[in-house]
Amino acid sequence: MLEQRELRVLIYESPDDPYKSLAFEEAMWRALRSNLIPDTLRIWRHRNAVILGYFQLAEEEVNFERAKEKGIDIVRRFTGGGAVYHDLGCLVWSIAVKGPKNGGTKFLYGDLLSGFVEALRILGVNAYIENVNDVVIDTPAGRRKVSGTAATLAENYYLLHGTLLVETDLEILSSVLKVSRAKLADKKISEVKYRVANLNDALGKRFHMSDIIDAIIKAYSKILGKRAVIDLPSREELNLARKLYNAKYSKPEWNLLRFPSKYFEEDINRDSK
Amino acid sequence: MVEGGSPLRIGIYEHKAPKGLIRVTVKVVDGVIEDIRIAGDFFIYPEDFVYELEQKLRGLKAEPAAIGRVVEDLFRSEHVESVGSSVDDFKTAIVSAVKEAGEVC
Repeated sequence: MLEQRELRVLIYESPDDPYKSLAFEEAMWRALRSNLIPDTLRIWRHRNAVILGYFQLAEEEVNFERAKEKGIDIVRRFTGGGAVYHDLGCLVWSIAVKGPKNGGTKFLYGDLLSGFVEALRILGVNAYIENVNDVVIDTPAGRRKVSGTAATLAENYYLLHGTLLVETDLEILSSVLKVSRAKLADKKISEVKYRVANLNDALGKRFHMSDIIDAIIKAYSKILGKRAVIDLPSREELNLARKLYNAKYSKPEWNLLRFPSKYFEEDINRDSK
Repeated sequence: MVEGGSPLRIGIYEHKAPKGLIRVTVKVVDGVIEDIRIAGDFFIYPEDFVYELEQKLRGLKAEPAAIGRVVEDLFRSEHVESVGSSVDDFKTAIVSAVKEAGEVC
């Protein structure tokens, strides 16, 4: 295992199987809390998926007909917040760290999120945190949201993950995700705060995924004061991810029916294969 | 209740908190909450507070003061930390859904 003064970097994805990569995400979070892995930055993507927040009703968020037509998988994550659409033009990043005691949500949405803002600044983009957990950038047309984030915490362990729209198909995004009437009625939010854009379109220049990934690694290495070391998933994480996949992330009870996490716990533990 | 009508009533209410939408669906039978679902895109820690709250509300009299007490007590005992929404937002969403079900004047 890496030393605590190193930031473990995992570039680990399964783009065609979002159920598997969300199972891995929870495995990584559990491994961190069991002190099986050091602080970890993960970079990943999906080919075509809608990721629901823990508390959301699938039928309220997803246009199922459109999802079917486009071959979009619908997967739930273990963190709260809203639904997002991922394709290969959307970079997903996660930072999971052992942090201060009683850091609370201030540590998550303040300290940890500032690392991602720093990454955009390294790329020469004027980025800001708005509305608690959205990241917006200055563009010639005004401020645009390019990233949404979600997070969880347990004792002094913290996980923040988010998206970065680089060159996502926004037509598919807006047609597969439903926007609630209550949100539309709140004009301030629908007209300004939730106007999303791709990083590449908004600034009229192209950013390469590899440069963005470099910037995210540099930024988190800097704010955590740790040297970045590229690593592979551990045996424990992969084993746990397989159990989580079999008992939870491959099940409609989790992805579509919004059953509580504890409903799956017995099956996850029973699976000793 | 309409005479001769069904004792089963459904109420749905969407409450917009400063950040996040709280969407409550409640099934009220003979003035008692039989089932309830608190869904949405809010952030609350620990997350499973939501499911515990649903559990505690099932079987409760569909009455604002009783609902308010259950929500407040659980917020306190679970040391709930919410981001962009408050205990009052949750109370408002749940009580409004029960009112939508028509069981409360």
